[in-house]
Amino acid sequence: MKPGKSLLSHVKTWVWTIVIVVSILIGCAFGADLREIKERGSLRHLGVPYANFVTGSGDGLDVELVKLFAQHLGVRYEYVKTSWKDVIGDLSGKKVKPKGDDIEILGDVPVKGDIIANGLTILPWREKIIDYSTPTFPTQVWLVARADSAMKPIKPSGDINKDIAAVKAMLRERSVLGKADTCLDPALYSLKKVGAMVRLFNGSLNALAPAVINRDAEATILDLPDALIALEKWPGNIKVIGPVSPMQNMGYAFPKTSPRLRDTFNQFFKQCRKDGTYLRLIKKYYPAVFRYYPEFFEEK
Amino acid sequence: MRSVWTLPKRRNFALVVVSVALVTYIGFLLGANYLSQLELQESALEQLRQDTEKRATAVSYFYSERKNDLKDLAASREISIFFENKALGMSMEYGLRASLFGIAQSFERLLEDRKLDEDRIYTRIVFVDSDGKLLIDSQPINAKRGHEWDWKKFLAPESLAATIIAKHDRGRSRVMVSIPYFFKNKYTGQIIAWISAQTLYNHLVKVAGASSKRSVFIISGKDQFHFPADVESEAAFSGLSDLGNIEIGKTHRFEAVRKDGAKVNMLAVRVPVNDTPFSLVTVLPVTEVFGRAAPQHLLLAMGVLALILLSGTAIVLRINTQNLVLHARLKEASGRKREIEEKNQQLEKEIAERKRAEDLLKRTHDELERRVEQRTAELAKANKELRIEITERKRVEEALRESEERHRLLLESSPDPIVVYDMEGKATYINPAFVQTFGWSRDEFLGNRIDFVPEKNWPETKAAMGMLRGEKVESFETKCFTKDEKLLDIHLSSSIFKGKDGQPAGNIVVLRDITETKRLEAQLHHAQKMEAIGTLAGGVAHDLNNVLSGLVSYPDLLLMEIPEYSPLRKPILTIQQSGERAAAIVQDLLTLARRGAAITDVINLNDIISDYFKTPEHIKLEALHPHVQFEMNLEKNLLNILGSPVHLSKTIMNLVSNAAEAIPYGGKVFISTTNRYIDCPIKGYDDVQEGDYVVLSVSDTGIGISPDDLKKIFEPFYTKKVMGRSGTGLGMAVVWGTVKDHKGYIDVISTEGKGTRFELYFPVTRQEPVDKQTSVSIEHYMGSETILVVDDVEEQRQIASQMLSKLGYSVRAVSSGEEAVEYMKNNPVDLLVLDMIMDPGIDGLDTYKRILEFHPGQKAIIVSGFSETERVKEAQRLGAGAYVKKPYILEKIGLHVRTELDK
Repeated sequence: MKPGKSLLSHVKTWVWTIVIVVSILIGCAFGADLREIKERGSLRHLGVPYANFVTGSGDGLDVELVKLFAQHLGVRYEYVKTSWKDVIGDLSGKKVKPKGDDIEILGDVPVKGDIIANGLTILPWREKIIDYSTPTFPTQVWLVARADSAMKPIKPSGDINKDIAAVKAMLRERSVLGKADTCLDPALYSLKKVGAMVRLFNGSLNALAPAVINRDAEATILDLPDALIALEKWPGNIKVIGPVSPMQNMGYAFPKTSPRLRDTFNQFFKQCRKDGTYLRLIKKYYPAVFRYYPEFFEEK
Repeated sequence: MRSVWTLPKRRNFALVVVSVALVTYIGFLLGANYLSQLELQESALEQLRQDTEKRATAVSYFYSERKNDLKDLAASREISIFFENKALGMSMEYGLRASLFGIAQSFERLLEDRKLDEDRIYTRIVFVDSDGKLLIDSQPINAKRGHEWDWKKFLAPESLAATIIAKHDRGRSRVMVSIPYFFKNKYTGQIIAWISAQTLYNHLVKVAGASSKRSVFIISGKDQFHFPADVESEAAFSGLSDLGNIEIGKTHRFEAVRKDGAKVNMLAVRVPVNDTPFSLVTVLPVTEVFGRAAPQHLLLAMGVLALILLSGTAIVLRINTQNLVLHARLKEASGRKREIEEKNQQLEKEIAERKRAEDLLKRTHDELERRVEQRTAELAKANKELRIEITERKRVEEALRESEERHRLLLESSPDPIVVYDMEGKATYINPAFVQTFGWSRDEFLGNRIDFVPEKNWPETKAAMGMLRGEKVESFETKCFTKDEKLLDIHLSSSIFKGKDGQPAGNIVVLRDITETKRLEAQLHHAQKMEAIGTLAGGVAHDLNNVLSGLVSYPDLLLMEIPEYSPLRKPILTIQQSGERAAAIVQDLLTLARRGAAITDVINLNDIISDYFKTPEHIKLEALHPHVQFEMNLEKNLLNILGSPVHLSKTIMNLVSNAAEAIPYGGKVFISTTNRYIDCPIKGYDDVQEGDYVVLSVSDTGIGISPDDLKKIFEPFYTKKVMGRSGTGLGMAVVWGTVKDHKGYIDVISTEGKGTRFELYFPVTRQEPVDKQTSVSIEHYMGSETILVVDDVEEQRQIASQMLSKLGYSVRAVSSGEEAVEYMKNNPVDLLVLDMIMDPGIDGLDTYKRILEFHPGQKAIIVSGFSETERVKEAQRLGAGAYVKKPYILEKIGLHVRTELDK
């Protein structure tokens, strides 16, 4: 046997050994996520009051569903209040900054929760740091303007890209409210690039529509579920101009170290859809969305 | 009999009259009945009309409410929001469609809310826009809708109000309510709501009751029937098609053909439903209203029936008349028979009654006799019990008398005074011991309230009185006055006795005189104290005497070494005297502890007093109290007493010293002696018995002694002085002990602020005093024999050795008994000087015993710092000589040694 070949064989053996060990370690780490929750006896739900997902009054679509999930796991439900700014870090343990569809990790922060269930839109940058469940809710980001705005709602063309372009075309020198680090971050939809006067809102997402009515800006971008609630609450005061994003989905987020927990949730969610539990909750909290996208909520 | 036959004739006539009247009356009734039948038919028709009108009113109100429903729907915010958003230009895809959901929800709410009982009123609500396009449909998208309507036909912009639309389509009648919708005064659509025919018919139209053959139809126009499908099939009569032509308000008769082909005469009434295009028609068979028979036919039938009934009645009357005659005769015969039977029964009843009375009389008689016998037996038994009870009572009374006598004797013979009090606290009995102890006679004490309890002892007395009220009181000690004001120590015990009714009747108080007991107790207590002091003094005396030996013994040796004119002789002599006095005090302590030891010298107290006034102690006392004058008044011919000069000197010193110290600001101390004969006992501080006494009196004009202190002044260590400066607490105890050892008495009289006087009574002796021992020349007790000194204390061995060596003796010394025994085995000596107490090791007695074993007749004297004990006496019995107390002087030890050697 040649010395060179012997060295290569030796290296291969080491590489395989390392791969196996790492796999085992990762497996162990993954295996610990659900076990840890069961040992701890509580499921920590990270939430920020938003629309009817988390009302802030102890209920909401996501609050009820996570409570049912905790019950399914046989552990105690625990609500952990957080903010849009910290919610990703509170789950992943990493302080991150989105950069387009990518992220920059700024440092470590304490992990405070096991699951984000808060009408969290599935975005590419977020998927870099957290895992999502199967989609739980359809959404789209609309431009909503005050009723007396000179901007007129677009006429649907049947092509979503054309519709988005039509909406953005109207935004030049128009003031638009958004919220950083959320799915309503104007940077995600390149609003500045089309000449919009972007303003970042400091209040909660629920306060965006009232801010527009109060003339803080001419328009804002809203999630579809939030927009529908705003139309119900303030009819005649606002109008939907059109979409600034294609159809999106919301999902429940899990740490990347908790695959078992996520898989268990997906199975649980599937069962909820099958037995009508989820439909009942949707009709309770978002009847309009159910009517808007009945095909999404029909049992698959 | 004739009257029986004439009665039917009269009755027949009356019957004919009654029959005619009856026929007439029946005819009237038939006529009236005929007229009533006609009125009844009219009334039934009227009721039918009213019933139909009532239902028509309900249907009219129902449709009125439905119109209002649609008006409210048209005015709802949900519809206007949709059109507002639409006016803003919003598209269905982006937001506008959400507004339709609000409309749909309001439709659903109306469908759900509007019900009759549980049945929905509306089956479907739609909104059709002005273009005839269906915008909202309450029916699910996938629901089967049968066929679709041409919605444009429903558009009615010209009609401002809600309208009712009746449509007959493919054999089904459908009723809808429709209202146009205007947004900002512009016609924008039509709201149409379908009414459930089933709900309407079941709740407002349908006639209740399964047996009723009445049917009610809703008709619009002339030939449109509106009722549920099942009703249609049930009411399938032919010939109903003309119902739409029935004149409103009139009754219509017609012939209809049933499904089975039978012809039926029908009756119909039509009533309009206000504000609707509908009428209500009630249809029913004629027989349901008028019955099956016509009034004239009914009249004829009833007439024939009346005639038949009248004929039958006449025949029955005829038969009845004949039956009446026969019945009368039969009744008469049966009446007589019944009278006879009643009389027989009366007789039988009387006989039975008499028999029962006799039985009762006999039973009463028997009962009476039985009761007499029973009462007699009971009386005999009661007499017997009475005799037993009388005997028992006599026995009890006798026992009671004996008991009372026994108790009386007990009380009378009790050595303890006893008083019996009643519940009011009055004495009702005192026993002889009470009279003897306290001095009051029965007449003086009984019935009078004599307070013989000192004021300060009232609390105990009140407690005792509390016993009368049932409070528990233990026996206690108190004090009571006698009649002659003598205060006795009393142990009081009391107990309640009860009367015949079981209630407390008084108490018996036993007042035991414990004065003597208390005195003895005090003496015992005192003796115990003195014993304790003795033990203490005995413990220290030996050591003190050893210490003092140096002071007493060495001056002799020093005086022998210095010249006669040396100025040191006086101080050395003073040292020696002080040492001797100290040794005497120690001896006093021992004597106090072991009183009665040395009362053997015949002395004259005046000599003791005079000597005392020359002592350094008194000179010092005078110096300390320059403001006090000491005066003596001594009996010239004072009798002698037996006593201890040292003790008596000490006693005088103590009394005088105390007297001087009791005078803080100047005064006098008197010392006097006198001979006194006491012919009867004196009750003073001490009870002085009769006899001849020498009385030493020491009095002062000082501050006096309080009564409380006076009781304790003779107790050891009781002092008011400052310890360590002028008193030791033993002074007055020594006085007391000395007096008692001399078999004397003490009397003390003191008044606070004025002064105190002590009088000491010493029994006189008729012996004469021995001449005072004169000093013996040293040559008389010098020698050359061998002497072994045995003492465990180094200093004592040195003193003894040096003294005896000075006298010419050959002296050896050892430090223990064991050592002495060993020494003597090989070195016999002429005399042993034995210390009695040596520690550790064997004492003087044991040492002497062992030496005697191999040197019988060995001569020895005993020296000891302790008082003479049994072991000293035991040694003396074995052959030892004098007992010499430490500390000793040269002359003393020398004389005793010489005397023993010369034996």
